[in-house]
Amino acid sequence: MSIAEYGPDSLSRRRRVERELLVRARLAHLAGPGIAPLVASVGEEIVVEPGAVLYRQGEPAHHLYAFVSGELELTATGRTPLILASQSGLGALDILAALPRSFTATALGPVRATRVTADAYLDFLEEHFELVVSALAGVTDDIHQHSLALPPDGGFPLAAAPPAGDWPLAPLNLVQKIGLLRDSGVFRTANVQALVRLARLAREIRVDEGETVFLRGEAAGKFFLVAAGLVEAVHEAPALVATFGRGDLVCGYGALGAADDQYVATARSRTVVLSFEEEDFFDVMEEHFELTRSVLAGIATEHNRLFLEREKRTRA
Amino acid sequence: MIPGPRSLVDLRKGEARPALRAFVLLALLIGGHTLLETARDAIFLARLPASRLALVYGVVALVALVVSGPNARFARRFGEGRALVTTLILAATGTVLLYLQPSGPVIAIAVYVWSAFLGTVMVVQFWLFAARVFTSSQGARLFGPIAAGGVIGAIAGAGGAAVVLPFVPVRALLLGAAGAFVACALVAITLEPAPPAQRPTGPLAGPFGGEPLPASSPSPPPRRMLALFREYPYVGWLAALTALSTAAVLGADYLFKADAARRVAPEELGAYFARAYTILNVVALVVTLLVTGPLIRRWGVARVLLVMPLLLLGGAVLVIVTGAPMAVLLTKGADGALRHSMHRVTSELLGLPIPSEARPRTKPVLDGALARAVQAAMALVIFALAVTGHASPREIACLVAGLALAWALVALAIRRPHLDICRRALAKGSLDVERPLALDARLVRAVVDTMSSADPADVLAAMDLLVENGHARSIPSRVLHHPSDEVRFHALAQMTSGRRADWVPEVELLLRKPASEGVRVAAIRALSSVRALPTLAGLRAESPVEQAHLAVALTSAEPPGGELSSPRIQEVLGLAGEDGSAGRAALLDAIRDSGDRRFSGVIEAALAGASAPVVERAVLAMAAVRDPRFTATLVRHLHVRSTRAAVRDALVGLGEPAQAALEQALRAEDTAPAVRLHIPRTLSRFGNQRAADFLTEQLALDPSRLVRYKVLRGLGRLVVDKGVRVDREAILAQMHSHLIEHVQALARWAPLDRHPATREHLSGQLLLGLLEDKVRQSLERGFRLLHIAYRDEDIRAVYLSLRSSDRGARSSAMDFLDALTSDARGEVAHARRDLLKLVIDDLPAQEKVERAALYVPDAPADNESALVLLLRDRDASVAALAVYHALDLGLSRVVEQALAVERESPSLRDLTREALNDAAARRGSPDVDR
Repeated sequence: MSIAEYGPDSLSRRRRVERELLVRARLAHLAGPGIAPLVASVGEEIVVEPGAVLYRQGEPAHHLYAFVSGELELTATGRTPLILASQSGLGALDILAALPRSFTATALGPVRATRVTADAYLDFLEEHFELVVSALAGVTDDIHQHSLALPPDGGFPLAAAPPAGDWPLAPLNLVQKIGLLRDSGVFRTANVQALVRLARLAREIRVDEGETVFLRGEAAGKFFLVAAGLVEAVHEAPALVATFGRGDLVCGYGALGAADDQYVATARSRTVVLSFEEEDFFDVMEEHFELTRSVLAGIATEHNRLFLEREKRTRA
Repeated sequence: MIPGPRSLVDLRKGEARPALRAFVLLALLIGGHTLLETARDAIFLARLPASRLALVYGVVALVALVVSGPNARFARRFGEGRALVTTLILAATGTVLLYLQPSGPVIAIAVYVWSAFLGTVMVVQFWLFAARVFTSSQGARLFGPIAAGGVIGAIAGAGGAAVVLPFVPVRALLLGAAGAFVACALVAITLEPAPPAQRPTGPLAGPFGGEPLPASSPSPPPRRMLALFREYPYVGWLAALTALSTAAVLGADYLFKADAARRVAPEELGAYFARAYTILNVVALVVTLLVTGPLIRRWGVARVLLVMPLLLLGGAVLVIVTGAPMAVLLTKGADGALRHSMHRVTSELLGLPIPSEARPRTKPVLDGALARAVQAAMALVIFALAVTGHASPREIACLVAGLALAWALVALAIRRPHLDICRRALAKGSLDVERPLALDARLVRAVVDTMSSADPADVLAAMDLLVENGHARSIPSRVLHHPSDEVRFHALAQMTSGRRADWVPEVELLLRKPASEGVRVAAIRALSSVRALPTLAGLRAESPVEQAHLAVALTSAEPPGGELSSPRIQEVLGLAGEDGSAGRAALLDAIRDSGDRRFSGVIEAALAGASAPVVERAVLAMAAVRDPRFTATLVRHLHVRSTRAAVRDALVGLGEPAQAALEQALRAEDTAPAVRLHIPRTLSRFGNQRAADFLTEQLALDPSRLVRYKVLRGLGRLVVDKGVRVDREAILAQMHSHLIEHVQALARWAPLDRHPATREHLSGQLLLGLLEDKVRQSLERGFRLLHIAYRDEDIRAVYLSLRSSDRGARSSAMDFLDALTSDARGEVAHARRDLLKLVIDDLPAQEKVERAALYVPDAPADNESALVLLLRDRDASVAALAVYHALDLGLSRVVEQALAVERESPSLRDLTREALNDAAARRGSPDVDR
């Protein structure tokens, strides 16, 4: 018997119960269980008529939606439409990525949803940094799973060979390190203050061609950013080989979680990498929420990219 | 701020042309109308007794009542600009027709009524048009100077009449007025705005363009006056203000004209009125140009509203006391000097927060129908007084004094409703927070039913929902047999926390079946919680982890005192290698679960030589047992993220001694910076007044900017969640400091931003970015403090509105802050208010810096001076990037200064040394630190 069958009770309360059950059950894995009280406390219930558009591709992302019921179609230019039924969370990745909507969401039948403003969501994350860490772990793991499903290259973009003469003879100075961080997708929108802090935490490692950057398990609690040269990362089963160049995280965004623990990384040319301790990195994120937003935006964008890549390869 | 010429006319980019055109338009309009008014008064009083003024006031009111509705519809349908042009042409035609009529009492009344009719229609249309063209924040700056155009027109009209009247008859002024209206119409034609359906799209687009005030509104425009009052109670306050002010100035007008009719010969009346109006208008001009703007900026609209009624009251009291003609002139002087300057401007500003859909209906009703109805009523009163022989100057002055007093009282009371309507303008789109959910029996059953789901997520969600709503007892014990370990752990944790025992047989059953170590340990914990000792004693531990949990469970049942020496505990502590680590960790977990302070000694013993993961568990155990002996250790571990939540809970649980320890740790210089960072938010969790007072104090004292930010966030939460009191003055003083930091950062940023070479180098881009971070953060912190000071206001919405690209939203936010801070008293509060208004203004950065010269006396003029200044920045990153940028630009003077600064401030060495070494390398000289 479903909640809805309990007739004479107040409709709004029934809907609240349904919504809370669904949010707690389905949304928790996206951003940790702490998100449920947020949705329950500042969420606004909305009802969307069949055919109505919830949001359009290209619009700014002002809300995330936790759905209770209903069927939706997601369409985007040049993409196969997706049909979602009783979707738990929708629109959060656009908010994290600080990007316009990547899809148009249209209700196919009556849809009830809980709407949370982007600001409320982000404020909540700032106040509960432990949720950010768990969300980061969750999404980076998802990203890694996408990569594992995309052999033989993990869906990573092909790194370009470093231009001749682009070799820093002297150790990187502060400005060069900050410039490198700013050029990498994951820190692109971070504020300079946070990048200065990160740059000061970076440890520069120089390796010659063929030398190991790290062995399997050695990257635990760390991540590596390529400053110059090329690094090849190999995953045993499923077999993946990917190369990373200037501005790339070795092993991709999954490296911000535990993904890089499972790889062996070797320099494919003379290489400079910056190494960061994850705990130091989290400390800086906690102190500079704009860095947190930048990182979440980066991983959300990457998550979306790999999802599309999987879709494309599946279709092919 | 240092006042300068901008204090008179604060024009911004793109505003000059529309403002000037509005100024000329109003000058011509009022100039023509003053000519008409002078002729009107002279013609009327020369042919009719003053007591007939009451009659004509009534007729004027009736005519105005009839036309106010059509006037509004006319303006709306035609567009405010077109309507005004049409009205001006009709005004000129009608005035010429009156001139052509033979003179007599009827024409005298007709001229009077016509003049009043035009005054009502044209002025309302003009200000409706102005409110369309300018936003409320622009209005606050520009309506004063624009109104000055009206006063200058009035001076020109009255002065011109005074000059020509010795040579021409009074009636000739009618032709002059018609000429002015024609000229005005010609100007207005060139200012024809876009049709009302097409709103201007760009900033100040079109001849009189500009974005209208926010167009969206949560509700449709009210159709009737009563509906308008119901929907916007604020309009009721405005109506009271309008009614009282209209009645009071009408009384003052009658007092003045009756006095003139008594004392001045009929043939001299024209010249007398022309001279009087000229003098009054000159005073009005001075007030408009020199007094109104600065006074509104300093006192705010609500307080400036008091000036005119109080002056009118003073004048009327003087008439009552002395009966002197000079006192009558002073009373009329207050009216004549302020009505079209200060009073008009404040009235327009008061009306601006009303949503733009409602404003076109509100304004004609208030300024037209209501004002005229009040005039009619007042005319009846005056007429009745005249007929009954009670219209002496003293008696009329009594009436004026009473009305002025009531007017002043309403002006005093309107501040709160004004703030409310500003708040309402900002609150669009906010979400209502739902009340806590209440589950009744049927809904509880429905939730329980969902626990039969095979999906662990469904079952966990249902359990949480029941627990959080006080129905933990409704969780069925059968859920312990769910295939998911996660569900079983969760169920055991929830069931053991309530007063129930129906689950015990189920758990005993669970332990007899093969199960994972986790489930067995959870079962042991559960049985331990209900002291199921025989079952526990009969269990055989299958691992060091189970052994540890059993040891704690069984030792708990023994008499206190022998915990550490208990053989079971010692056996676990004696385990070596991996078993030892696992056993100690499990021992600590079991103690954490028991929360029993008797095991404090065991925690200390388990800690000896422990690895990091064991230390982490020990901290959690310490947090759980809440033994005061661990307070210092817990404080020292605040920086560890994984245990921080538990440590904070424990410290709060330890109460006052822990709070004192935290305060001391924050004050102590030797506390690790990483720990200090987390103390403010921990203190805020105590949720008491002491925490609020301490954090308020630290806001001003803590040497670390980052810690002060955490203090600010902690205090913010405390104020919002716990409703503690804060010293508003201290908080606002801190806000002021942040705003000063904001303009100082802006002053350093601006010259670098202007210099073309800055962005050519990465170092310059980064330096600009870093300074932009500081500019933004200092403003944001200022607003957070403002929110603490005014906890009930949605300051966040104001801050977001100020950052919006919507000019109307920014304008509403500025209005709100203006109204909110209008109760500032004293120099310090005024300085704070002025600075707040400056930083939220839309001015270009450099102009802001110039206006804030008081706070940035050393504002650098060029990029080199800015870099020299940045070398001494408290933030070493700024200094270091400044050095790098100076190197890139080849600014040797800056680099030499950097060397000197480094010698003075060794703390900068870490960051600047690298840059200076770079410089040395480029010069081919040895490193500076060698």
